[in-house]
Amino acid sequence: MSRIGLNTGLKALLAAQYALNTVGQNIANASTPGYSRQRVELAASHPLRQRGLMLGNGVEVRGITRTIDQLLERRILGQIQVGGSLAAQLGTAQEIEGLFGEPGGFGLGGAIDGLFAGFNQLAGNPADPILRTAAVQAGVDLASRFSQLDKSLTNLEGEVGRELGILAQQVNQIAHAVAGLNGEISQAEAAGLEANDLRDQRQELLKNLASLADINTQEDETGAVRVLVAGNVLVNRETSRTMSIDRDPSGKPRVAIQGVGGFVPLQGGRMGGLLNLRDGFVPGLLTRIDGLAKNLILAVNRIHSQGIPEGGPFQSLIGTNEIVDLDKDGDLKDELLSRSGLPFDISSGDFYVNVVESSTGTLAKHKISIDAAKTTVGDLLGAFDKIPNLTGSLDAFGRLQIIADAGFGFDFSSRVDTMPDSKGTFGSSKAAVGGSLAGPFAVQPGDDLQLAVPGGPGSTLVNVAFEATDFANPAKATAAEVAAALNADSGFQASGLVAESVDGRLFLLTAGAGPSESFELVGGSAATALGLGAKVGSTFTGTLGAVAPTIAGAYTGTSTDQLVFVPSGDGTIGTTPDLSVDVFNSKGELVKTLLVGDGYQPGQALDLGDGLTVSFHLGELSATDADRMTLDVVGNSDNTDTLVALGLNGYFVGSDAASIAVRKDIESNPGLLAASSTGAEGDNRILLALLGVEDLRIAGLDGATLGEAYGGLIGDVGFEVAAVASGAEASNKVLESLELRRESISGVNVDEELVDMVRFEQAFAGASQLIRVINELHDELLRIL
Amino acid sequence: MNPKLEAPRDLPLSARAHNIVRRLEAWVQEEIGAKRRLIELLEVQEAAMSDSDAETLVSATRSVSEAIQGEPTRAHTRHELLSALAREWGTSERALTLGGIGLRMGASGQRIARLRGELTQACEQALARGRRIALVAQAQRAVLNEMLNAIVGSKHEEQEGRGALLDAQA
Repeated sequence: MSRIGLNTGLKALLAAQYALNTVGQNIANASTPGYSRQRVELAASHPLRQRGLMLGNGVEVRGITRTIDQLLERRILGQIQVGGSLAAQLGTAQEIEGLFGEPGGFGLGGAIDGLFAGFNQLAGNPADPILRTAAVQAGVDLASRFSQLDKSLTNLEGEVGRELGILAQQVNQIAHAVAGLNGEISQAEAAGLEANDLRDQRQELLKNLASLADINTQEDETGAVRVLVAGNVLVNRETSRTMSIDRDPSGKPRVAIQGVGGFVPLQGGRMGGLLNLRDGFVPGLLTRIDGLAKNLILAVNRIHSQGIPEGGPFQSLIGTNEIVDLDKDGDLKDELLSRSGLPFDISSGDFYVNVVESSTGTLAKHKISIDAAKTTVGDLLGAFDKIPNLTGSLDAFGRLQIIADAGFGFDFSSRVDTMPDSKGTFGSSKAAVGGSLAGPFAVQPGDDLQLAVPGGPGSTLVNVAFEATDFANPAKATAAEVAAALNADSGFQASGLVAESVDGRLFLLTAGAGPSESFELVGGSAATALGLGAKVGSTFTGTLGAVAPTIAGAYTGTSTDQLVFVPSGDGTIGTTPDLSVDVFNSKGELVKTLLVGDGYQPGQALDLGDGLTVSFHLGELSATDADRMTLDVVGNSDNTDTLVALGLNGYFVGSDAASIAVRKDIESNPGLLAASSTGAEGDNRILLALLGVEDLRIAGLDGATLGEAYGGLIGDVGFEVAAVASGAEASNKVLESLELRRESISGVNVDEELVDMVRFEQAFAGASQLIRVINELHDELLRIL
Repeated sequence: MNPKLEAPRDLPLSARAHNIVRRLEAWVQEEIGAKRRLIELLEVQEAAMSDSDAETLVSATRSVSEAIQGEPTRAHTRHELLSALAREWGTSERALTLGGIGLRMGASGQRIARLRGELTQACEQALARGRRIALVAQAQRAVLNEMLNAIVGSKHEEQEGRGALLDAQA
């Protein structure tokens, strides 16, 4: 064979070898992920001209090309990013769903139900120590569930940070490998070689990268790809930058790329998905769980703070929340109470403090008014100091501490004074007279009041002259100022008389009780002004029995008022025909008329309305001597939330899911659970009110009940999981579809390859046969030319 | 040139011979047209061989096959005309070539001589194209047979002859 013939044959063999290798490569990689089918391009070589002859030069391989669709590859990369993001979100969202433990009754919902079930059981027998402990334990369990949930969600944030770190390392490894392949591809293609396999490897790496972060790729003229992550260069030709996880000023891990200022806002890929969850869904959940805990604490403590524990009123109490020195001047007292760093808002209004004398049960109700814009911590302490037998102060931590004098206790309940005539101005056995007029009175400095009490050979004259300093405004002197001026006078004190102020009127009465007690109103220039003019010259004598009105029950009304009891005439309880007691509200409206004359059995309870009854004992009432008493009824003994904000007598401490807990001293001594609103044995009104919290529509929860708010939260978590799952499923289907399309374009099907080969073989055989015929025809024709 | 075909230039030609030569010229023209169409189809076929689509190749081969269907008819016409001219000139048909006929015709043979050149060129082009196709087909078949043998495991004997590897032109 000639040299030309040998060369031509060699080329044919080489072409055959290339083609064989290529098909073998295709078949061997039929199941290799990301492999793109390759094909050999055969063509006749250019003929050689030699000694005037055009010599055929055989067949040669023009190239081995990858069968790919660039647009499709880009779409696959984009879809992988979406899928990666959704897969990361789905895994974490399902984990979060599991944290709630719903359905199954072991989650927060079950614990909330458990708390109210505990209150409900205890309400049936408030004195049962086992039920009391169970009710407290239910609160501990609920607080624990809140804390666990908060901790788990917070830990999840930390875990996301750690996972981001691991994923960033993977990104760096892939980016480094892509940069290396860029170099190899550029080098190979610059040398005129096809870098098909390297390109497939790189494409597979880019897919892995896309599953981690949202990337964008651009191929340059050298065949190298530039990889951008959220618009920032990660790989440029043969160089890759390092991705790292740094913390932002709030301490949250964020994605950073070497040489790029600030943080990279990833959206896609697994990292983007984790960041989306961490920055959106998880904080949203934490906020809602915190809101749920805060509103639960607020609602329960509002009620519990007005309750009375098993042992009765407090001798001392320390708030659980600390006042903060916001202006940093070292003085807590100048802080505005409503802006003193307390965890709950304080609004304008009043709250009441009851001071009870332990030995007698005498209750004094004291109102403390709060102006949210003005009242300072110092003002509040001052208000406590003004309450007899009570001291308010701040401890070393800035917590309010209240201490009662020995023999006294205090509480913040809305209970009423069960013995409202402690002053003895309403049918007591003391000698007494009241003014017919209510203050303010126009008293001139120098005006006086003259009284005579038995003593010595006849009687002792007591003359009290008023001074300008006795009154804030002498022209508008109050009954309390007049009474205080009288009681301060040494002569008056020595006479055994006492002055009292009741319903704005001045009362004069003896300190002792019984028929032996008496005094005479002699006169004086102030008598008329004080409404005592008609009584000048009269002598007032004590009686044997006292009416001693007694209040029972608990006030169920919502309004706060002062009821005034006034007898309709003079007479004896249960004896005098038509004797009645009129009850007026503070507007002067007649609320009730109580028939206490003939036919009334002394001691019989008469309905006052709003859950209260009153009973009168055998004694005498005198309209003539202006008998009168008042009864304070309080609908809400704290409409300012001062008690909750200060943490006074709360059931829970804390202010959010992380800090909620049952008050430590209640946990160790369940008797401190304030079940009663009156302190009476068996009273469960606070527990009943606490049960109402379950159905209470709470403004802080957008008008939802606790159950509804929690149900909404669970529903939203479930919806999020379902939405992400649905999105992930849809994304997977799209990706499958794209991969199928890619497979149909770039994939290798061994059967098809074989069928194709047979078809080609037959086609080439047919072509060869025909060419032989043509050659023969032309041989014949050329013979005659 | 075949010396047997040379004839004195002043040899008188019969009107019948003139008539046959004119008809021969018409045949040559038809043959040139057929060859040019064949060349076009062969170009399509060669291109089809580079594609990965066997259907295209089969279709192109079928077109070529249809194009050469008229060859026998034209060969018969050629044979009749050359036989008649051989009888007229008292020579053997196998001694006649278009080149020789042109020479014998003298000045009136210029046209057939020109047509003969065009036909020669068309034939050579068709042959060259055919040989290239045969070359590629042979290489492709060799590859395919190797692969089929390797994959299917049976000897895939080549059934058809090979195309020429050498394309030479005088």
